[in-house]
Amino acid sequence: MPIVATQSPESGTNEPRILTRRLIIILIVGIVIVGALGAGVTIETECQHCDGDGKIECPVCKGIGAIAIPFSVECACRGESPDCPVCGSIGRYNTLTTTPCDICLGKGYEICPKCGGDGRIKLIERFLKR
Amino acid sequence: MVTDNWKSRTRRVIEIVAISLFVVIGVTIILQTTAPSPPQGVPPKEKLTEARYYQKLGDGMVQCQLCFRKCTIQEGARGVCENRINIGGTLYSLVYANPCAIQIDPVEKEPLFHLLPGDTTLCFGTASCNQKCLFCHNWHMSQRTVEETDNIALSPEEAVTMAGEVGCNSISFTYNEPTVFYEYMYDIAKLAKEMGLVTYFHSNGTINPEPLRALLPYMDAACIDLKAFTEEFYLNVSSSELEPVLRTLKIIKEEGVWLEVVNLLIPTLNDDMDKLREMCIWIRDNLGEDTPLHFSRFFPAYKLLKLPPTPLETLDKAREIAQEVGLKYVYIGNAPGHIANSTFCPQCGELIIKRVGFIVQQYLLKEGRCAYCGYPIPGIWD
Repeated sequence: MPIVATQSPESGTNEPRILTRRLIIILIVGIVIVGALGAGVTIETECQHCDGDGKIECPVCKGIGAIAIPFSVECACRGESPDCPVCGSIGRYNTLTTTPCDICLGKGYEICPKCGGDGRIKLIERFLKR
Repeated sequence: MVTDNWKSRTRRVIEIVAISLFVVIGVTIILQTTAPSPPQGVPPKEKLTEARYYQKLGDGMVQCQLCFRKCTIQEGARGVCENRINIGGTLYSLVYANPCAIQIDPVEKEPLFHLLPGDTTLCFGTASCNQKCLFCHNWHMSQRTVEETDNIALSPEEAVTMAGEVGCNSISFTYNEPTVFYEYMYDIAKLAKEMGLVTYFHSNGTINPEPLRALLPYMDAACIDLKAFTEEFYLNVSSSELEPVLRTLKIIKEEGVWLEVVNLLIPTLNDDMDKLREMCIWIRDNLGEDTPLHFSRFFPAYKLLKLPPTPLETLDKAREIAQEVGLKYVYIGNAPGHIANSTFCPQCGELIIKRVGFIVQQYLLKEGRCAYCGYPIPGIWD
C-alpha cells in the first residue's frame, strides 16, 4: 500500500493563525520593551550630584549670592577731628559694598546641571548619562 | 492535544500579563505628566493668609489694591512684589508670619531722630519689594523672592512677645518695603499697641490711601523715603512713581502720625540743587517746617556701583538749602561724625542731642523742650 502523504483539511487555514500569533508575540515584546522604558522614565531617584537639592553652591560667591567690593570714602570729619572714632583722624576710611554675584545672579547657587533643578533624576536618564 | 491547550493557555496568560503591565505603566506616565504640580517653594494653601485690599474680577482674576501698582493678577500668578499670589481666585500673602530679617537696631538707624533717642527697636523685614531701586542696599532681601531668602516662622503674637523678651520698647517694620507684608505688619502693630509698645515703619510711600489710613491708628511714627523730586528719577532708577509718595506723606501728616523724611542724595541722579530746593519748599508747605528731613549719603550698592559716594560738599549744600527754605530740623545721615548727625535748637542754636552716627552721646531735652531756652522740640521723647 503506497504511503500517501496526508494533509489535514485545516492546514490551509493554519498559516494565517501562526502569523497572527507571531505578530501578537512581537507586539507583546514591543509592549514590554516600551513599558520597561516607560518605567525607567517614571521611576525617579534622588540626584546624586546635588544630593536631591536641585541646586549646587555657586563656586564664585560660595553660596552667599553677593560679592563684596571694598572702597575708600572721605570721612565726615574731613580729617580735622583729633579723635575721630570713624577714621582715626586720617580723613578717609575703608568700607565695603555688595553687589549680586554675576555668575549666579545673586542667588548663591546654580541649578544642578544633572537634574535641571528637580533634585530627582529618572532611572533611564541616570542609565543613559552613565 | 493536551500540550497544545497548555501552550495556548500559557500564551494567553503571558499576553494578559504583558498588556496589563503596559496599561498600568502607561496610565502612570499619563497621570504624572498631566497632574498639576504646585509652584515650587510655595507653602500649602491652608498655611497661607488671605491678603487684604484686593478685588475679585471674575474668571479667577484679582486686582490687588494695596500699592500704587494695582496689579491685575491671573490665577497662579503673583503681583510685581512677588509676595501676593492668586490661588483659585483668592489672593494670598506669602510672607505672613514669614520674615527673613529680625534684628535689634538703634532707633537712629531708621533714621528717626525725634523718637525715643538712644532706644533700641526690634525690626522686622521680609523678602521682596514693590520697587526695583538700582541702589538698594538691602537688595539681598528686597530683590529676592520668598523662596530665595531664609525665613523664620514667627506669628504676630510671637513677634510682640519677642520684643518684650529682648527688652525693646518699640517695633519697627523696615529693611524691605513693609507694604509688601502689610497683613503681617498690621497684625503685629495692632497687638503691639495693645501691649503698650511704640510702633513705626520705614516705607517708600507707595501704599494706597485706604490701607494706609487703616494702618496709621496702630503706628506712632513713619519714616518715608522721598527718593527724589522728579518722576523721571522714580521711573528710571526705582521703577516707580513720585505722586503716590507725595500723597502718602500728606496723609501721614493729616493723620497726626509722627513723620520724618529721608532723601538719599545720589551723585548725578538726584543732586540738582534747584530740584532739591523745590522739594524742600514742598515739604515746608505740605508737611510743615517742623518735619525732620534727613539727607542721606549714597554709597555704591547693588547695581549702582560706578557712582562715587556722595561728596560731603553736596550734602552740606543740600542742608544749607533746606535750612534757607525754613526747615528746622535737617540732618545728614550715613556720614558718621558729621555735625549734622546732631539736633540743634532752632531758637537758641544750642546742641541739644549730640549723635555720632547712631550713638547718642548727649541728651539735653527736658520734657520735650530745649534745656537751654525751653523751646518745644516736636517728636516722641518719652
